[in-house]
Amino acid sequence: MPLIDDLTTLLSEDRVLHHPLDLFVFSKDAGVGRGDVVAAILPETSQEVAAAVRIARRYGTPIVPRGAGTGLAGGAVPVEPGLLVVLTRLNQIHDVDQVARTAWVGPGVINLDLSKELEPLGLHFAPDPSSQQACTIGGNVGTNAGGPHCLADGTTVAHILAAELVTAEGDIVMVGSEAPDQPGLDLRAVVVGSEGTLGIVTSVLVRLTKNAPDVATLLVGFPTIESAAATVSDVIASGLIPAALEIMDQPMVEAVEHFVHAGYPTDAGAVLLAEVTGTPAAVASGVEVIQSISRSHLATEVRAATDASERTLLWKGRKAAFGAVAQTAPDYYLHDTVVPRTELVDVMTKIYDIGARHDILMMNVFHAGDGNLHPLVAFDAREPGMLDRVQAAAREMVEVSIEVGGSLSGEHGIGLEKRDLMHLVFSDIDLDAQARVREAFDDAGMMNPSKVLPEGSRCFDANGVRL
Amino acid sequence: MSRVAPTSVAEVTSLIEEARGAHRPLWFSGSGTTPVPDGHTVIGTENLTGVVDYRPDDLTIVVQPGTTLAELAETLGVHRHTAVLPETAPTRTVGGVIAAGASGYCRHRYGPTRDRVIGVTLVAGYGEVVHAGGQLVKNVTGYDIPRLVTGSHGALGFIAEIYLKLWPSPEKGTTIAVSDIAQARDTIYQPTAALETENGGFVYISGSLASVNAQADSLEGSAWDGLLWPDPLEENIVAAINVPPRFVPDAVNRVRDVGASRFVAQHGVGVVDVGWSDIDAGHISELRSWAEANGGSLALHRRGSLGDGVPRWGLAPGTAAIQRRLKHLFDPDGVCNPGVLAGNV
Repeated sequence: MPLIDDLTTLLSEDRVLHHPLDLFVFSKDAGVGRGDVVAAILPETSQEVAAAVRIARRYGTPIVPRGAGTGLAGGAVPVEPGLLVVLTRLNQIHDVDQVARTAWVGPGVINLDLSKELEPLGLHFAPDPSSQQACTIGGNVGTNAGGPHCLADGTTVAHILAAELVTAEGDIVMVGSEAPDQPGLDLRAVVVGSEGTLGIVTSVLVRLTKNAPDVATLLVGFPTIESAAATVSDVIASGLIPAALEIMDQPMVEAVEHFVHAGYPTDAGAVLLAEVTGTPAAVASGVEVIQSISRSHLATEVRAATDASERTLLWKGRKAAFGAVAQTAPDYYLHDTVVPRTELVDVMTKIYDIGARHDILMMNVFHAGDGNLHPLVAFDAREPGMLDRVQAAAREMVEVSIEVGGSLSGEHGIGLEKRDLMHLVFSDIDLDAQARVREAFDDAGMMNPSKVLPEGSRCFDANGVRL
Repeated sequence: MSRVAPTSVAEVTSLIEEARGAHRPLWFSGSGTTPVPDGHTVIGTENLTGVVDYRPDDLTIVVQPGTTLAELAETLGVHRHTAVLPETAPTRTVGGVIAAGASGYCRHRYGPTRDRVIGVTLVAGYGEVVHAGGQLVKNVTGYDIPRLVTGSHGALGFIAEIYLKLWPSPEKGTTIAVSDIAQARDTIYQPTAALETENGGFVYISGSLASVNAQADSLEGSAWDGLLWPDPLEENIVAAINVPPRFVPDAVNRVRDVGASRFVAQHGVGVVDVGWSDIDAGHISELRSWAEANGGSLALHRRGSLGDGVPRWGLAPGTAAIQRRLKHLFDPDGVCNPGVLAGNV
């Protein structure tokens, strides 16, 4: 195949994978669907990525970038037979600037490795998705990833100051800059979260966050999920924005506790995991606020992690939540809708109703502080009719979120999974505007086609006439 | 130069349609911070003011573009909230600040203004009303058009509504004069700002009472209650030199060398605002070349006696080709603040 021959000339044989077994392995991310991979390449430099893009373009082969493949929305799964550009070997960390608190980072660097590397300097990378032990910075940039600590710090876009981008034409350009407010349009803002549809990010300038001098992690048991959610609302209304505010419902707590044995109260209706960071004095006063509001909402148990190992254990329960589900059922479907924080309780009630109506096993663990819901359906896909029920329920959960002004994704991205639900949030005109952004970067539709925007999104000509 | 002040989004849409038909350029303007070039019809926002939807418990607000910073602050003050917009003239409009992508001194702690723009309604240059984002503090549904529009200077269309993410107002603020600003900035955990002016170095701390007191105790120097920001630069010529933060001390030396009347340097951020009563074009070019050689830029916000001979922006960005395509796709007839951006986009 001439495409593979040309790529092999560029990269040598061992970095162009096209054995059927390799293609099978690379045809999937952590979501549900499988795609069609022509070849998976392992470039080591931006120049190699650019050259590969030019080759693929010559053959009209769509290009799909991939990090660690932990994405849940199918963003790294080629819909049409495509070239997978695997960026894990672009994994250098360099030019750490302690004045600016920034570093240049290859997209293949693993999220947690970056923070570990910077630990001696007292700095870390704030976004911390649950998959942070495996997911890459490039993937975080692609999906504008979040994590529990985005409550105070914002999602990935707030932590990426610049990115080197290989364009759809195979040129290398820089979006953003080391200096603030680069003149012109802020292309960086749309490149982050574009899921590989605007080009391939080959290096990023990350903003680093100073490690807090003190941290307190609290685990609070509540009789009901409503009382936990009301506590979250009142904490924020009090003027305190904690580092994290996470809620797990009873089925989730039970699954997690059987898996990690972190001492979570399995008899509580819901558990709130709260973290406060800052100076010791600020942390002490923040803890006091959370404890007192929790008690006013009839908290059944308040436990504070007293040392780093206990804190790690409490967080392990939260971050291992999705793994823990495997003990319950072989498959799971994880949602990622977001609603205004004040709608949390109402939407949760409706979501439980949907679960009951479709007779599915549902667990909830979510970023309560910013209204980001993650209903998780545990199921066995081999059971006849089960997948249909799960998907019908999924659609309804999305709809009840959007009815109250919510949206499709808080941190996982749209990818393929939610592409055809975009109409629920956006009008044809809104989608057309997004399609214009895409066209400015990639008018030939080479970069991760058929993702994010539904087919036919670019639907008006310059005079507003439907194409 | 004529000025029109539409009272509705529908009126804005028809004004844009008319301008396209007549091939007549428009200039969207808030309080008029940016001077209007000749030959444009000004579309003012003074009749599009006020709060559309404030949800205190969600920490979000939607406002019309002509709302002044003073009006916004008054509304938010009731619930002790802040949108952390620039500490500039209170008569400036929210629409103007967002269009300019202007950030204030609290950026060191809260990030740029752009990070708080969670949604927009844009009357695009092709005449359609586009909604993007929402009243949600976390949202990754599609391309981030709200952040793209922030700092677009009206080049993509008219910003008709702005959705902002809010913060609780800090309980306390304090301002401390320091002798070594770099060291002071490093010593404390989370300074709100670290500014150097012609009067010396100042560290600003804000937050909860406990947090401010604890951090302030670790610094030596005269301290004042409250965040005492420098007065706005009102010289005839005002420039923003933006450089990677490590070049700020160098920038300060250079600015002193060319006799700036006033300057405010944001340590750790990389912005150095400078005011001159008068300066010759050669010095501006030298400063600009130096900033650009170090990965930065110099923007002239007020040109005074320099006139149009010295451009507002310097080098076109390396992504000018993509920016031009984007401009063309959003404003096919080039009627929305044409040439307002760097690289004549």
